[in-house]
Amino acid sequence: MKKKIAILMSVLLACSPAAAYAEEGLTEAQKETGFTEEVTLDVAMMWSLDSTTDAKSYALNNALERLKEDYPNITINYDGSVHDDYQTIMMTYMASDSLPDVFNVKGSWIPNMVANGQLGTIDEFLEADEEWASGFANNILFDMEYDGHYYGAPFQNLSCSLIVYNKEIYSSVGYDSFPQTWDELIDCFTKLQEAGYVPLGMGNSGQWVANSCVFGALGYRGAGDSWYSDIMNGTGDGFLDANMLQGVEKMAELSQFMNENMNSLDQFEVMPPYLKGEYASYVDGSWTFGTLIATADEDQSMVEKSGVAVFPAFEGGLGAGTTTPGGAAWGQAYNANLTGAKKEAARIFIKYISDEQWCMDLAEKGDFGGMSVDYDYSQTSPLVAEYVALKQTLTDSQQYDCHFDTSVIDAMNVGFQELLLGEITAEEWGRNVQDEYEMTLE
Amino acid sequence: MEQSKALVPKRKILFIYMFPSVALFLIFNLIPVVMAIYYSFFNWSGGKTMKFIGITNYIRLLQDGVFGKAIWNNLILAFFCVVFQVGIAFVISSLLCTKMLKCKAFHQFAIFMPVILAPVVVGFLWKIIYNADYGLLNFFLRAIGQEKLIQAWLDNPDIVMKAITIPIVWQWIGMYVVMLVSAMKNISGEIIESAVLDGANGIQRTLYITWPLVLDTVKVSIVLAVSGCMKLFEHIYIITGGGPGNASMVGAMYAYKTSFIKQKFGYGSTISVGIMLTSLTMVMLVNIIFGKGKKRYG
Repeated sequence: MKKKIAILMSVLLACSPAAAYAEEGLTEAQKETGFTEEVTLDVAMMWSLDSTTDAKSYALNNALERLKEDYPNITINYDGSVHDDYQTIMMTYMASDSLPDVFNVKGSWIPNMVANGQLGTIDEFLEADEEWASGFANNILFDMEYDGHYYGAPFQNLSCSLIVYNKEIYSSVGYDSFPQTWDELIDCFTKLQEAGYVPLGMGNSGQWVANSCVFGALGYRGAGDSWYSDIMNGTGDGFLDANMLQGVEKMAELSQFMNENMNSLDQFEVMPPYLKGEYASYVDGSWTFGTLIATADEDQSMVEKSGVAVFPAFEGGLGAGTTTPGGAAWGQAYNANLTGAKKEAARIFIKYISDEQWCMDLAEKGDFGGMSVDYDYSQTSPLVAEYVALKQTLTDSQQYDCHFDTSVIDAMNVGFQELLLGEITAEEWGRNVQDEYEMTLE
Repeated sequence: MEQSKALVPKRKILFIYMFPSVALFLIFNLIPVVMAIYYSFFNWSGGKTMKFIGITNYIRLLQDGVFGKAIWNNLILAFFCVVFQVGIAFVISSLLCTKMLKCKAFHQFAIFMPVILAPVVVGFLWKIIYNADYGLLNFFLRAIGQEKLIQAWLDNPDIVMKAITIPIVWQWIGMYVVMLVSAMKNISGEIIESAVLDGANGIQRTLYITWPLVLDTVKVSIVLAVSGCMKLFEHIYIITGGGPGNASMVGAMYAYKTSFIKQKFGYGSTISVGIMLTSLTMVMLVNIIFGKGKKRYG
């Protein structure tokens, strides 16, 4: 017996320095989680790593550095692109059932990906790390929920319909603050047009801006809360709903005040004419600030003269004017085929690209992550600080183009281009989209 | 006459020689076509789940106004390409084959240069030229005092297809010039000399000698122009994306949007099959029309 104990003690003595040595090579994070396996993750996202104007690119680079320091055993194979191209790339991956390990998922893609068994739920990730999970508010997680499960970690908090306006130019036509009613808005835009400005710039070549940034607000101003549920449940008058069509009519009314080339410019190309003072205002989402500030570069005078507002309500509409379509819209997701060490690595990486530090990095560049962080936005820009104050007075309404069927969204987008050019009326737009919608119901 | 057996390669050797090209053709042409036809009978949104729906997609295709408009735009493009690409190429080729034109090497280079550019590059280039704010076209119009003509060229549904036709015609003229010049250089000098001695002037020589003798090359050029226009995609994708609305939609762009934006891969395949059938019909028509012409000149 004594001999056995002596052998055991000798083995333990021999092993302890080796164990200590092995422990020494680990980072604090690795020691904490015990995750040391060598893993390579294929990642595809809609941000390039070398962009100088994209806040997400800045935050992503920082997140990758943090991950490398904490988990040198995780290698990231990154494939970055830009928003519009990314959607095509992902559709190709999806069709060929060859999705990367970690990727950005759009809310409207989730049902189809889940039906094909391609998207893993993050429910267990949220349960495993309550501190991280508690950072996401319910309204932010809403866009990532499908059939009682969450399929993406929110990495942004969007307000999809905002008007960035030049306070000096508005003041020159008698509006010291942004118009509060629809009639005032039309009066203001008329005066701005007479003064030689483009009252409202929009870059809709990608076709989604008119939907996300204009209809998202005006559709809600017209239809109120119930229309969204009706569409999702296949009830009500669908796209022939008279209240919702009021919003479409208001869009058509606004088109006379927009830039003539709205359908051949993208959302970034409206910023230079705005910064040159040719446009009195432009419509975009809360992602605009980081790019606007970076585009203005050293001369921030026009940004400092800028204010931010939302479309006012209009008479006869059911929705309030103190809302903006908002939420996460997109999330960080992983391939359902991942198991074991790869799945754990995906969990860790997803956390790094959605956690508080990610949000702080975005805040530094004037963008907003999926968690509320304590950050003084006035040091980024007074315009961003003004938006943060405005956001506190607003409530989020649903982002239609984040939840509706993709073919319905496309029919809406194409129709909006025609509507804004005066090619079709609001009713014709409604009928065209309704045809596509009914096909999805079948 | 019986062929010498020594000149006929063995079957095995023949198979080995042909295998790479046949394999490439099967992998990149025939199999995708067969797969597209197969998928066109399914309701398929990508991934593993597919539902067989018979000819429902084809019934929908026949009632689809956007598909009709897209094919109509293809046909308009094909018409302009045949008239302007092949037409201008014939005129330029005739000039290049005369002695009156100087600096031929420079002209040939300038005309052929766009052919070597990727369609994506040409698309971007012309998108910038047409830009309403800083585009070269509006800048030029402003410079010559024609402000009234300035407009957003790509935002006007009545103009956008014409605007897109110009870069497509411009890019491919060089290719047809090369084909036609090569055909014209093969015309025997004696025939031309006889015509000159008979008193035929330049236009008469072109119409009554050059044109009939290069007609086969013209026919091939027209077939290539028509089939090229039916599968056109890159220029439209870059310049307008089929917009505004569906004003510049063409068949391939519609198939792409249906598959990759709307996530309707089954119906997207049906559209592709529809484009293929239309293209084959067009090429057959060209062959029939010019087949008759050949007899007349024969």
